[in-house]
Parts: sequence; structure tokens; C-alpha cells
Amino acid sequence: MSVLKLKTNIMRNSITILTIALFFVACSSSKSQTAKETNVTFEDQLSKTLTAINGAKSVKGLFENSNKLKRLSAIYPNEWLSDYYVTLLDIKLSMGAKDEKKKESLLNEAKEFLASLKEKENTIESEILTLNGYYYYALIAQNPQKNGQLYYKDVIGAYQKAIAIDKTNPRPVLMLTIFKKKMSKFVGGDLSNLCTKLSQIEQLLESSKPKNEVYPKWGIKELKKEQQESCNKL
Amino acid sequence: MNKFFIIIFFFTLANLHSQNSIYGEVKDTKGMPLEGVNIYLNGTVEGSTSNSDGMFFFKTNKIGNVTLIASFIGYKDFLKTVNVNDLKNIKIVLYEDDTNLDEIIISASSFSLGKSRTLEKMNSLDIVMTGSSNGDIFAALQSLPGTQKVGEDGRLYIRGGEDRETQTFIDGMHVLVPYTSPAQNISARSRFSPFLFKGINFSLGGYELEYGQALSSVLPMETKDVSSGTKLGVNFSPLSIGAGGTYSFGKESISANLDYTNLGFYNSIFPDRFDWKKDYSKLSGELQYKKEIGKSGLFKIYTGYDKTGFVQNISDELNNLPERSFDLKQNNYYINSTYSTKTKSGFNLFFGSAFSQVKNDYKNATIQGDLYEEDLQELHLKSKLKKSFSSKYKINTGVEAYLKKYENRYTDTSNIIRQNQNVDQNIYAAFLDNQFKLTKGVYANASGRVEYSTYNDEFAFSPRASINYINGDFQLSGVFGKYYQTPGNIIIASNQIKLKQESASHYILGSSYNFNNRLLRLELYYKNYKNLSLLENDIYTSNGFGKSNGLDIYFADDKTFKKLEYTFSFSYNDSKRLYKDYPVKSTPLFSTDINTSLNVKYLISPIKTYLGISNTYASGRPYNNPNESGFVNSKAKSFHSLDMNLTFLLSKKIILYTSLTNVLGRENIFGYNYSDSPNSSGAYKSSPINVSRDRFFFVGLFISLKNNAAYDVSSF
Repeated sequence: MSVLKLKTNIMRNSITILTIALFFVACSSSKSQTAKETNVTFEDQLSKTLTAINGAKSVKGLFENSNKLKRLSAIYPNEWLSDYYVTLLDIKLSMGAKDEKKKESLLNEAKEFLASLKEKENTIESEILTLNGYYYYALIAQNPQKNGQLYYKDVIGAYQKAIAIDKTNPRPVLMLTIFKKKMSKFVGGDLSNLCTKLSQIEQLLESSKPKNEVYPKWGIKELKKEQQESCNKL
Repeated sequence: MNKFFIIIFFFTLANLHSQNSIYGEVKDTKGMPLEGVNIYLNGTVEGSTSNSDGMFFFKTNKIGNVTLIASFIGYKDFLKTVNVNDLKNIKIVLYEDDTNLDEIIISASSFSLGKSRTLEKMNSLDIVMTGSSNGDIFAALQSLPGTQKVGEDGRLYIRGGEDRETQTFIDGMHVLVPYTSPAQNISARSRFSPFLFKGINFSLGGYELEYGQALSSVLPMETKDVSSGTKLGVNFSPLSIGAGGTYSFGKESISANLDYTNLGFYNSIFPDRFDWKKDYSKLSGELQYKKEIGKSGLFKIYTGYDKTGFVQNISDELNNLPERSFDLKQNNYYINSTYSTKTKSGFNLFFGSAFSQVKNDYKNATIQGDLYEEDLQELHLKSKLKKSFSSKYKINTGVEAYLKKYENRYTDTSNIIRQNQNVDQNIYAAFLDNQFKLTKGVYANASGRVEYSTYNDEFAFSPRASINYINGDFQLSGVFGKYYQTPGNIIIASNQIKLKQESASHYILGSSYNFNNRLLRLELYYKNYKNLSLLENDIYTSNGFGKSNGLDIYFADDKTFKKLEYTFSFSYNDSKRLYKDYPVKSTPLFSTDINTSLNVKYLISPIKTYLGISNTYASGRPYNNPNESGFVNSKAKSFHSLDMNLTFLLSKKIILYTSLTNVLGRENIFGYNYSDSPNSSGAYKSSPINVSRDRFFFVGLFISLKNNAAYDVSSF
């Protein structure tokens, strides 16, 4: 065989080998790309989704991110925070929904998630109980005339239990204060120290240090809204 | 060749950065698009939410086989495992979810009172506010169909059955004596305040075989869970004074209540028909401790003690007997403890024990100077296991034991013990309840219960079967059940021969329709009684029998009128029995053909007042007039009572409750008593059976001394 033919053969073979090698590199790098995704932690993914929720411009955006949280829950069944935020979102969305059927299905979903949250290990019980109280509050909001009488004790009871378990948790204190103020419209009551109480809660919110970025730390928005309604008017 | 490799080379490069598109639409079984469905690849967060047209679109880097999942609340998850390239323009259909068997509520012959958003469920405040109830659970239940008005007695007589045929349970454990012991012809009341309970699942017949030893019906009541607020309250009325409260510490709470009732002061202002030497008085105390253990464990222990006494001057004018000072003293003690939990594999476990002890002392019982004593004891032990397997099968199984003792003693005027009877009876039982979902909307139940009684050394087997069709707001049910009950204590303690267990076979056809916040229920039933205790030649045998059939109609509406709820009950019953000392088969004395009740609740919001009105009508009570031929040959005049109550929510901490029964003052007659022997002209003298007072006026003040909730008058 001439040298030229040999060189061509070698070149041909090399290109083949190179191509095949490159092909495999391409395949494996696609695989490693997905592998890279799962190296991202639960906290990071949750944090990204929560940021998206806080910045959502429409209800549609909220529903999309709620679904993202559910996918996260499916991948990490031992985690409770993703379920916690889905429930919180469902409760809030139910109070804003106009359609009765939508309200009902959101509340049903919240109820299911709450039941499973109660059974999970390593949860922060005080936060779950606060969420439970918030759920009953949403039930009352669904039909105040009928449900107010049925559930007002459950709302108060759940918040009180949450406070009893962790006195430093600002959320049940805030929600209980807000609920009592709303109830006072029907049952009368002393609202004179409402604003002082709200300021105290504000302090508590600002000084509380959640374990990490994704642990529940909400409350300031609700508190500011209440302060604006009740305290700036006085 | 080179070109070929170059093509492959670039193709490979392209693959490095390309993504696969996944898109399509999702609809329900009716072809309607579903918005908000969560569509994603299993094990990733890659996915999309369907829009209002049911369309979705997203891209993924994955290649090869993937599993696409579509999930949405109320629907079964959709899964499809294919190559990622085949997920373009995919059409997904979602099927509605099977309702969890735990959530299916079959309403045949049962009324649930408790917290729920549906119409047929009232709460404890409703019990208090039912016009005719005066805060008594049993009286409030008499506004439901299937209940018989026996005004002079006040107990529950259900669908042609005696009061002993209905048994009461608290947290699944038996209460031997749930009624107070008033004097004769004064309505008995429940020992328990309605505020103790979060739910009542009253069954009128065909009840589940978890319970037994009740020929007609069961009344299971659930106490509230661990309280989360500390509270203290007091209440006053012209006939009672009480105080109670709860102390809660995290996952535990302890509640106590103390009540003293004395009719002396009230009788001096509003005297009744009877002659009291010492007015009725009752001192009662209750204590309950509850603790949450772990994630799903709950331990409760309840104990109550009450002491009742009165002395009534009774003169039996019919039989010309001398006057006697009938003196009753009763001591009643009850303790009930339960533990329930749920294991990780979903088994619901329950363990319970309850002990009842009642001691009755009647001085001058039949004649001045004698003494009749009665002592009843019962220990009830129960354990059960419940589990739901998928949405198609649910099992409830358990074992229980009743250890009962009964003793009576009669001492005559010369201090000689003329009678001392006792009977010990142990009943051991095991039950198995299977609930199935046969197909969409069709449920069935097949259950069995075996009981062994040491009284007659006999086994009894109770079967129960039911089939239910549930379609949204409509339910249709057929229920069959056979139930056994040992004859009454006094009979088995004194009888020479052993008697069989009495039995009743129930056949029930029921329907229920919920439409637009209104509820209509219709039920037909037939009960066949066998082996009833019958007095033949001065000895009781088990040759008695009977039947009871009828129709119950119930209608509830809280939509038509603003701030007004009303319910209407109509019952028709036809009963015949040959039992006790009846010479021929007759209508039992407690049963009337027709019972109707109209109950209205109205909120007068400007003055924060609830008005409750009850209008009850029942056809005349049958009675036996020995002056006429035959047996149970006559009928008294019909019963009619208009009752009202007003609950004033004076402030967050003060509630004023007022009620007036029989506003129109009708003299209701519940039959006639006749003298034992005819007079000189051969006629039997009669006297009407009426209640102690035609009208009863009550006013009570409930004050919350410490409470975080408003309008909360319960101590528990």
C-alpha cells in the first residue's frame, strides 16, 4: 500500500473515531447537564420559586409557580416547606377567587395538604398550626354568615396552640390579633391597644431569625396593611 | 464518506444544545378544557400549567424515555411513559377522583349533628336553641323524624321502640344510664351538657355493628378535642347555679364543671301539680382531661358524679292507698377513658374502657315504711381497628366486653327483706364491618357481629347489609340489620327460667336529596321483633313478638328566608306487640300514629337575639280502658305544644337564655291510669296522666369570666 493511501485510511479512521468520540461526548454532556440540575439543592429551587411568587404579576403566574412547588414536593417527598407554601398560596388564592367552585377546590386542596403536613416529620409545628388557623379563617371568608359561627373557635384555637408551642413566632400572634379585630366588628370589643400590639409584632417580625432563607418569614405585608387600615386612620 | 461523517458531526453538535418541545391539551371526560393542570416530567421541575383552553407547552433537555404526569385537584393523576419525541401535540383526558371512602357519608337513618358545612348537621348551639329543647340533647333530638313524643317521660322512643331500645355512647363507650332521674311524670333530661360534644351521629335504625345490645337505635356522641384556650364561666337560673372552665397547656387540657340544681325556689313561685316534701335537687360534677400524644394519638378521660334526691308526697287516690312520702336518692358515677391513634401504615387504633355505677334508694316506695334498693354496675371494654384500603374498601373491626351486675332488694315495713334478686351478665362481642365501593357512586356494606352472653350461655349472630347509591346531592339506600338485646334487668333478675335475647330485624329504604341549600329525606322502615319477654302464667317467656313499620319525612331549609332556618319532621308509625303483660297483640302504650314537629330558628340581628320556635303535634296516646272490652282500646286526645326560646347575646361575655314550653297552655294528656279493681258500681276509676306542669318557664344567665372566644358558654 502506498503511504498516501495509508495516510488517507488513517485520516478516515481518525475522523470516524473522532466523530464517534465527539458523539459520545455530546451524549454524556447532555446527560451531565441534567445531572448538574439535580445537584442544585432543594433550598435553591424553592428559593427561586418563592422569589417568582413574590414577584408574580398575575394570578396565572401564581398558579404556575404553585404547580412548580408541587413538582418540587414530588421530587423531595420528605420536605415539608414546599407543601407549606402551596397550602399558604391556596388559602390566599381562595380568598381572592371569584368563582365558588374554584374557591371550594382550592380550600379542599389546602385541607388535604394540611392533613399530610400534620403527619410529616421535622416540621415546625407552630407554623403548621398557624396555617391551620389561617385555613379556618379562609373557610369563614367563604361564607361569613354561616361559617363564622361554626369556625371562629377553630381559628382562635389553632392560633393559640401555635403561640403556646412557640411564643417567639410572630405569625400566629399577628393573625390572631388581626382576626380578633375583624371579629370585634360583630361582637364588639376593646381595640384601643391594637396599634401598640401591632408595633410589638413588627418588632418581633424584624428580630426573628428563620433558620434559612426558605423558612416561613412572611407577615410584614399583612401587618403593614392592617396598620394602614386601623392605625394611620386614628 | 467524509460528508457523511461531517453530517453526523454537526448533527451531534446540534444535539448538544437542542431541547425537546412537549405540548398538547388537557380535557376532562366531558371534553371541557381544564385550566391550571400541573403537567410535568416525573422527577423534575420541568413542566407547565394549562391555560384556559387547556393548552400547555414547555421544553426539556431530556432525551429518551420520560414519564409525563398531569395532576389536578379532584382528578386522578395521568401518567404516560414514552420517548420524549412522542410528546408533541399530546391529548390528555383526566378522570375524576374517587372520593375517599372515609369521606363518604351515608345518611340513611342517621342524623349527624356537629361541625360541617352541610345542612343536616347542626352544632351544639343549635341544640340549645331548638325551641323545645331547654338545652337538653334528648329533647332537641325529638325534633327529628322517627322520634316518639312521650311527654311525661322525656326519653327517646324511636320508631315504635321502647326507651331501653336506644343506647347512648360517648366516644364509642357505653353509658349505662344517660338520663337524669326525675320524679314520675317529669321529663327526664340528658346527664350531659350538649357543649361537651363536637358531634352526635344519631342513628334511627339499621345502625353499624360496632354497636350492639340495642333493639332500635344508638346515639353515639363524640367529645371535643384538646381545648386550646383557658376559660372560666358561671351560670345562674332560678333553679340552678353552675361554674366550670378549662385550663389548657399546649397539647393537654383539663376541664371541670360543677352544677347544683334545686327546684325549691322555682316551685314556690310556679308551683306544679305535685306535692313536694323535699324539692328535687341534684349536685353534679364532671372532669375531663385530654392529651395529644405524638402526631396522631389522643387520650381522653372523663369522669362524672351526680347525686340526686327528692321527697314527694304521693297519694294513690285511684286505689285508695294511704299517702306516702316517696323518697328517692340516687348516686350515679361514670368514668370513660379512650385512646386513639393512627399508625404509619394507616391503621386507626382505638382502645377504650368505661365504668358506670348507679345506686338507687327508694324509701316508702310502695307503702310508707318500706325500702327498695337498686344497684347497677357495668364495665365496658372495647378495642377496634379501622383502615381504608384505596378508595374501594374500608374495614372496621373490633372486640368488646360488657361486664354487668344488677341487684335489687326490697325491705318491708317490718324491716324484713322480702326480695333480693341479682343477676350478673357478661357479654362478649366481636364485629367485622366491611364497606365497599362497587362502582362509581355505588357503595355496599356487609357486616357481622357475634355476641356471647353468660346470662343464657347463648351466642347471637347479627348480620347487616346495605347498598347505597350516591350521585352528588342525591342518595338512595337499602339497609338490613338484625339486632339483639337482653331483656330488662328486673325481668331477668326475677325470672325462674332463662330467657332468650330479644331480637329486632330492621328493613329500611331511605332517600335523601340536597338541593340548593334545602334537604329532603324520606324513609320507609319495617321492624320485626322476636323473642320479646311475655308474661304467661306468671312467668316470663320469650314468646313475645311484635312489628313496627312506618314512614319518616324530614325537610330542612336555610335558604328561602333570610336569617331564618326551619326544619319540618313528619313520622307515621304503626306498631303492634304482644309482650310484657299484654293479653293480646296491641299497640304499645308509648306509640302514636303520627308525630310532627316544625322548628324555626331566626336571628334578630339588630338586637343580637336568636329566636327558636317549635310546634309539635302528635296523635293521641293509646291506653287501656278496663271499662271497655278489648285491650288498649282507647285513644287520648292529641298532643300539641308550642314552645319558644330567646337567646340574647347581651355582650361578648354574657348570654341570657329564656324559654317557655307550651306557650298556649294546652293541658296535654298522655293516657289514663285506672284503679286496680272496680268500684261498687262495677266501674274502674280513672285519672289522666299529665306532666307536672303544663308550662315551664326558664331563664338563665351565662357569664364568661375568662375566655378568648366570644359567646362561648361551654366549660369544655
